Amino acid sequence: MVIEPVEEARLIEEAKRNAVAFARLYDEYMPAVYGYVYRRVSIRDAAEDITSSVFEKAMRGVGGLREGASFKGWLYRIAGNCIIDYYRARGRHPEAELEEAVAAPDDDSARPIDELETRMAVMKLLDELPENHREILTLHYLEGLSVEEIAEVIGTRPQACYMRIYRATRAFSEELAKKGITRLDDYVA
Amino acid sequence: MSRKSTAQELVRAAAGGAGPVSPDVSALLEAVAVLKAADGGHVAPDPAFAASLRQRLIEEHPSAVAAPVKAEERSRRRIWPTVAVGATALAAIALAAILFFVVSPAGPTVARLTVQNGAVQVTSQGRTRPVTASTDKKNGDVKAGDTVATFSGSRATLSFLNKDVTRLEAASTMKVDSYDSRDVGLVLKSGKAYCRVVRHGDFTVSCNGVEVTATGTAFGVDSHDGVVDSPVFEGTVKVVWPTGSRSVSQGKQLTLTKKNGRYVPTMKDIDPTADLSWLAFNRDLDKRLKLPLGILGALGATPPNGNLPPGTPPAQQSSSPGSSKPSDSRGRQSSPGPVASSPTATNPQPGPQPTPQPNPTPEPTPGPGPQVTPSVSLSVASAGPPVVVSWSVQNGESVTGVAVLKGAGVMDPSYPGNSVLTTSPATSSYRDKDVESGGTYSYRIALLSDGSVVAYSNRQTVSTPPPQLSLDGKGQGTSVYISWSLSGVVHIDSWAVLRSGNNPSPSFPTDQYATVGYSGPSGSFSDSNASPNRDYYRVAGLYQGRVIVKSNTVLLP
Repeated sequence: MVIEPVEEARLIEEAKRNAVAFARLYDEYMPAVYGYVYRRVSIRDAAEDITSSVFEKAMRGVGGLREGASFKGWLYRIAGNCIIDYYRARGRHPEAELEEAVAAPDDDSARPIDELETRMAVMKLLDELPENHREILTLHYLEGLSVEEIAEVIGTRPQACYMRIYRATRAFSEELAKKGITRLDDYVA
Repeated sequence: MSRKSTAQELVRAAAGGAGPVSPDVSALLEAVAVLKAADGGHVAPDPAFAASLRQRLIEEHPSAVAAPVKAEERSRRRIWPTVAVGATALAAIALAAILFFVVSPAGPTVARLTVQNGAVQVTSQGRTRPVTASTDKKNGDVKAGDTVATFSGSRATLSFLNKDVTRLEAASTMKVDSYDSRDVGLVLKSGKAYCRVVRHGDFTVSCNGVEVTATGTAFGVDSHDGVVDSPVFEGTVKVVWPTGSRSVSQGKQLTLTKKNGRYVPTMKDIDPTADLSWLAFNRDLDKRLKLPLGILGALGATPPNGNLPPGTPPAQQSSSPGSSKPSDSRGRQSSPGPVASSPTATNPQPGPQPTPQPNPTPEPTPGPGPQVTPSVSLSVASAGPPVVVSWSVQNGESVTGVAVLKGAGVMDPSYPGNSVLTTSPATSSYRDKDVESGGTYSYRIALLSDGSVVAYSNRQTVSTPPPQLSLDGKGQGTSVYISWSLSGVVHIDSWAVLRSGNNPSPSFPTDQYATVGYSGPSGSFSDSNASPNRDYYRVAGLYQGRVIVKSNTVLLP
């Protein structure tokens, strides 16, 4: 159930003093936030811990959210910080459990093995990009955040986001070319 | 074309914007298409996790938690005197805090948990873990913000770093709300706690809007049926509630009973015989810690049943020899030796008596013997979906497998028909996600040897909290907007919007006005044809046409 912007603004105001209103925002955004976190850490338990932290911080901080700010972008910003904390606590970037992440959707069994291997290779390329490129590609192309929402996440102006998206896309394109992956003809819609 | 305009063109085209694109952008769009095609999509969260976190957020929302807010205010009040002591002290505190967080990003350990009987559940940062007497050395670290819950038949001790001690009676839940070496803040959510304040400093227990604060004393807090009891065993405490406060001296008990929404205080002498098992349990442990006993010093002898906590299965009580068994260095009694147990025999280990010690020596290992019969004791968390089942096996050398048995309602589930999990003897807990809010489930553990049952545990029956459906709304003229939110885990396939102009409790199906498809635990409905007069609105969650949960009623517009 998508919350209309006017209704969302009302809920954000209500959520400062009403647990049920906050729960509605949670219902709306929790699956996406969890999915994003899981995409970044690839470990289910860690994704649950981080998602819990994100919404605990959001609940405590919603009173300070400035009027007109993107709630979704703000949540993703908290999530990004929690993910950084997670990796910092581990002291390293863990080996992403890419096979689990890629193989998770139910319809994968119907796809040919070589296609899965290519998909894994592509996601591995994304994972090996510098963190700033990886984050912005994930947020924009995979999470579907708008330029304005990404600006909220990374704390910059929307105009600057265009260039960041462009640079990240170009870097990813160059890495694909080095690996000889230019099209996935069989299944690119 | 400038890079800036190329970047804007890329974003527009990638979003499906119409119009021609330059060759540079076209190549980048290929890369974007590859990335999107390769992506596996979102992984959905575990529904039990989603429901559990949602419930916790509602419970811990500032609007729903009065007591912790008070605890925070208390902490703030303490900051300013600390500042006045001098910048050096503040810098030292800040440095210590930084060191703590560098060492442990999740927060430092502030207390050690020792489990005397059964199993205890610790909730830390949204995750729960069972802790038993055999695992508390490994899993017993407790941090500020953690919640400790004992179950029927279990007791536990929290030993804080500053030497203060809190013990939890069976079926109690306590949150460690705040901690520094001179200021301990606890929230008793339910049940009974005994607090032993050793160091000088504020030690406060909040409970249902009541704060009990002590400086160097022994006192209890007991929350039951909307009543808060505060007995004082040694020293003096101050009890504060929203409309009053009272000092309580040694030997007295202040009882606060709610009448018409306000607490009414009653002071009386403590009757030690009314709670002899619990008080003797604490007296014996305090004696080992060489702490002043106050009125507990005049308490009678340890009860013959060995101070077992409420809910201890009868088989365990009957096998208890009282306090005559030798104890190990932690106060736990050593193995009672060979036990001839019936198929329903439970943990033969009697209850008391732990003494929190920083470096406990290992427990003695019972020696195997030809007559030793395995046995198992079971504890079940009743905090709601998921249900956490924990067990402890004694004399399990011959056990090759463990089966978790589950039945709906009150029953004795049996093996193999009611088995939901068969696992190795090394496993000691099971998180049952396949439960609904408002359900009643019975559990038992079967110990297996070569595929045959050699012992059953006691049965534990648990009822999960019922689902809650909260309805809110607003209206103007003939337009009404209502929204609702469900807490808990239940099967619902549609929502029925109920409306009545004269029935303040609209019912299903008589007052059904509209149906809304189920797409999640919350929903909304707009009524543009509301009555010019006021209408009562209510929502019911349905499954296959049957009402599963009903909301409150709102009168709109």
